Amino acid sequence: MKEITFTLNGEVRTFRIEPDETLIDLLRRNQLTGTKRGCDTGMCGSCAVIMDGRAVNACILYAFQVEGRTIETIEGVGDFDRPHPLQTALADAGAVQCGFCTPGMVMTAKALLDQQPNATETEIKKHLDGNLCRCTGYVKILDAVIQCAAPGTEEEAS
Amino acid sequence: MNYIDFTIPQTLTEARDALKALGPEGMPVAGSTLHVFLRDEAPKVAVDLRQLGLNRIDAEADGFVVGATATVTDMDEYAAPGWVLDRVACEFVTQPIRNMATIGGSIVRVFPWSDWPVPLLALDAQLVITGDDERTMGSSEFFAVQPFHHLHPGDLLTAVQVPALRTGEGFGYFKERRTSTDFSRCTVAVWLQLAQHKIAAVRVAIGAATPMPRRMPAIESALTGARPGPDAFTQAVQAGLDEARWKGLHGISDDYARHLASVRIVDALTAAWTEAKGNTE
Amino acid sequence: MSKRKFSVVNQPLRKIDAMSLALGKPSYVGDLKPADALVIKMLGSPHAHARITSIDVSAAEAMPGVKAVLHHGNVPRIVHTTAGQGYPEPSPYDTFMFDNKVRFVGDRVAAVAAESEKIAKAALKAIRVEYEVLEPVFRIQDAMKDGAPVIHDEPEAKAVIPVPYDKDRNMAAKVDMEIGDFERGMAEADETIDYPFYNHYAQHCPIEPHVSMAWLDREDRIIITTSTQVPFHCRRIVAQTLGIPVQRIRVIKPRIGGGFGAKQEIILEDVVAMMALRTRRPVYWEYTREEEFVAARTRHPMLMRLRMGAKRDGTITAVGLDATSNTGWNGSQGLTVVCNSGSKMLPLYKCDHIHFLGMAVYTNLPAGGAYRGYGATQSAFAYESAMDEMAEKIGMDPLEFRSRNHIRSGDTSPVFRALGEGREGVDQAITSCELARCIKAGAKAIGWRKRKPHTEKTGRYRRGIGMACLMQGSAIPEIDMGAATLKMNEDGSFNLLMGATDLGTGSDTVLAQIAAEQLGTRLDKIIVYSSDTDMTPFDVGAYASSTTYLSGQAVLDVARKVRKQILQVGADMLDCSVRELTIADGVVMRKDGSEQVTFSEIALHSMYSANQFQIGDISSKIVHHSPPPFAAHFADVEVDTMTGQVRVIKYVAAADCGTPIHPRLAEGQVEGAVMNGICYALTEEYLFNPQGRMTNGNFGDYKLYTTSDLPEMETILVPSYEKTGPYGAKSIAEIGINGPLPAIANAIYNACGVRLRSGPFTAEKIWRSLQAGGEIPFEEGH
Repeated sequence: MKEITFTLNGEVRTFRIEPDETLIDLLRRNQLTGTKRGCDTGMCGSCAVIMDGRAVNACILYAFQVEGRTIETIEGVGDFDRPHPLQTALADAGAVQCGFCTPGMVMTAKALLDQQPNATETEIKKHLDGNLCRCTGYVKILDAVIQCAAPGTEEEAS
Repeated sequence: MNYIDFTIPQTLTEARDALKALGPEGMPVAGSTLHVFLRDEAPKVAVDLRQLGLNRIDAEADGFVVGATATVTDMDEYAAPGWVLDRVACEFVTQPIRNMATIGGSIVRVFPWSDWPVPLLALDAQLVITGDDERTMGSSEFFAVQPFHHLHPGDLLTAVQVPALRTGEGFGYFKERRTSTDFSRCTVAVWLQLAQHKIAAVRVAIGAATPMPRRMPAIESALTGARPGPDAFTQAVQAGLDEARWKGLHGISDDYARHLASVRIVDALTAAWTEAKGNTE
Repeated sequence: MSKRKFSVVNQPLRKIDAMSLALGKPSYVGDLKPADALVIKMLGSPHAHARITSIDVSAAEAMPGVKAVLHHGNVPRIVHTTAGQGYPEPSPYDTFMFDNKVRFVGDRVAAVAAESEKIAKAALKAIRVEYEVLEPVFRIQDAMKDGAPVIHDEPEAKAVIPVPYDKDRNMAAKVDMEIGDFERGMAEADETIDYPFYNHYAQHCPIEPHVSMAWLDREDRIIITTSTQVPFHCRRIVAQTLGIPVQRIRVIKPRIGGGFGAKQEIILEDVVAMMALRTRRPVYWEYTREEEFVAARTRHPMLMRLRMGAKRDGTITAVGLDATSNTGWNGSQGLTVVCNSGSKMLPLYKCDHIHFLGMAVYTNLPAGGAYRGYGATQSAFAYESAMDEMAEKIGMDPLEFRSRNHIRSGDTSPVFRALGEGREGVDQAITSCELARCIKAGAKAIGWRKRKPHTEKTGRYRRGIGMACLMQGSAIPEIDMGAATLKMNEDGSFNLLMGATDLGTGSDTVLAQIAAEQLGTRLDKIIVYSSDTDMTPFDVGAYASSTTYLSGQAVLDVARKVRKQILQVGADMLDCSVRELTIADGVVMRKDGSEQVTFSEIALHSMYSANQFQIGDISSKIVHHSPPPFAAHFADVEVDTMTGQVRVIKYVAAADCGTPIHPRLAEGQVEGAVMNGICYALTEEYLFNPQGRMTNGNFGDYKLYTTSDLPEMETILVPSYEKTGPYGAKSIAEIGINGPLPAIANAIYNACGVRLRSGPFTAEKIWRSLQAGGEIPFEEGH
């Protein structure tokens, strides 16, 4: 067991970790269960979190690799009283069916929109290409994210 | 991976010292995206290379120096005259993987379907290895064997030097796959230089349809000095296909792998030629 | 379509659990895992067919941190089916918790429960097993041959309903049906066709793999929390498999991360229950993605022979469908899936002479199960491809050929009575069918009028348009039952307790809408709880496109009863008769508007003031019809004739689901099903090595589409009003997945003249067909 320290949802936190522990295991054993495990090979995106502004798959990233970095998980994004505009848009668009992929979608889309608030449809499709959804066929998910990216709607949505 | 310990060195020297001391037990780690393909269960100590400042992309006089831990997204987002690797980067796996995977990790251990060796072979990139002293190796030599065999304990691949595309030059790249995020079945990259409406120089590289990524010298020599065009491309490709061994990946036959290569090499030649024609002063 | 105005039904409201899921709140089984839970790992068989001659688990048991090891030598040997179906099940009993024989690569050999996953994995390696390797059989044709290896040679295997079952010949199910005189119909035809088709293996790929956990409560009952579509069947089958009373088990279904039929199966629950009993600790078992592919369930691959006769005027004189499924190592859902291949497609076009032969055959490959579409996906490919081929033979536009023949409102089909689910079906007339309007709307959206034959197309890239018509059902008539409990709280909110199982479709929302509409209140006044075998009434579960239609009727009925009670209390409070009252938006008022009482006042009154009683009730419903939803699908594709690569450019799905209770969720059902169907048609497939081991069981190799691959998708809901359904609704969940295979196959033919009879439509297959002048013989997968 060794210690690592990183910024987790805005708080500097220190954890004791196993050297072969993945970030998803670290998060989930600390009750941050919004980060989902769907494939454990980095191919479904259910475990997407934001590291230093970019979406990464927590199932293939080792916990030690976040030493000194900034990690955002779904738990840090919004809550019932202050949902992120993406969460509101996804909920209202009918984009949440089983919902298992939704936190990962939110994280990946947020990473994009934080960087490019006016991302185009093409950019959005490309940036969400690592998040599998088997329920929606992506149509309503894209509707929601595109709506959040549309110029001028950010303030209204929040 | 069966990591029993890890270390996060802050300088290149520290990293090299750590790896040298660890010997075969040391495992350089950056993006960690390929670990799922490594079945090695021997205990290892991870040496994280991402704090060494090797993630820069710099434009230099005749090209670019890409640090070994630059991510695929870094290469995708980088823009400068003559930079073409964004075209490769944008077709690489998925966004989170592009955000994590590094150029170094993508080429130091080559899988049959690896994307990056192919364009680097076509562009004749140079690989910078930092050991007790720094050496540079051409991509053909680098990819002639599993590249990590070039590295002695304590050696690190630290950068990739990529020439810029200049006037009269074009680059064509095709990655044949079932879906946008699929492994490649056939990766083709072509660099082509025009002079007086003839092909002054051309490099054709292929991967995924062959057991290891490789150049296609017979096709290159048949085209060098020739007038470019669909017939010339097709003839040269048909005549040169036999020099490679064709191997179908992921359920496709060897025959079809060969056929795909024949189509996509012509497509890549055509794309490179088209770009070269338009790429005037 | 009814002109009726709805206030909650047919409105695009927010799905009731959407926000909590988008926020990432702990919702799924894995989120609820106790910190001290033991982890279960399963040792899978390395052989496709072998007898375990010895097993030594002593080294594993002795490892620190290992709490229990289960194998065939130390658990009850009770034959059962893993199919989560009604009792007695139409699927044969051919499975044991553990057996001394393994029947596919990955079959259960031994399970370990340990303090950590690492210890459990290490313990699996310490288990010593000796096998007598037996000859495996992988293909349908081989399994049916004389002298083929017998996969279920155990004496216990049997069918539990009166249907043909011949395990000595690897035959898990058989059904044979003739209407009219098929041969005479063929003889009357001007043109006949006789073609083979093959549907390949595929998996549901719920993003949440199977996951279950169990513990003992203070009364020593087993509490199973599991990702299941069938909590009540789960309770019954686990009790049966462990040989303990149903009373001792409680099954809780939290949110499910996708099911699509995969979770209509008891796959992990018997072992977690047994482990909880053995260890007396909470235990947790989650499949890896690879296990999900291999050891969960799949779509039944099927070999088909489709014969059809037609007159030049477009009359279909005969249809014959032989469907033989590869049901894999067990016979789960084998009979009913193949029955549905007939019953869900053969009524679609009017024809007097129909023959159907369905069989399910054991092999040493992964087991088929329930998968969205449930046999209709398979037969839609054959039938709808054949419709195009026949149209070409008689020189008729394929759209016109379909339009002339498809079933309409008021029609019936003898197939409804002849073919049910493992027994005779139920006669029914079609009371709602807007297929004609679906065809018209879809044709317009895809640009059917500009469609040209493939012979007029040139160039490397060729576009083509294809279509398919579809029907499904809504629940299983006279078999399925759903029930709901509704009770009122003192603030005017309601608890709706249902056995109906929302597997991510949004059925909790849809059912709450039905309740709210009937009660005369808002959706957010309904607190939904589903499903928990201790707390909610029985429901068969989420399958057979049943929840909206069947469970919706139970909810509607209980809401009617509760509404009556509310009105009665209101009448008592206002000292008038019920006839003078009306309800709107949570308020009971006199029709003349003079006086009113709120729901909250009514609830408080009934609880505390006079004639106290709990306003609430329970209703159960079975259904007597299974009204089909209908759909017309259209695909516009582009084929690269040099590489054979096909790209779907646009896909249009027009569907009639009666009244869409929640239009956006209904569209979502279509879109998700269509996308799954497109991937099935183009990329999804199982690759096996010669020993029967799947070699592509991960999302790197087994490809689903992502946002980057998405074609332009257009969904058109064409409303009808199904008078037997709640507020005019019928089903929508499954039908959409059946279209892409035939619509895309027909579009590829229209683009480049290549006729594909087996999926997936890989680039190599298309290229080889082009080389061969249009068609190549196919091999049964494997």
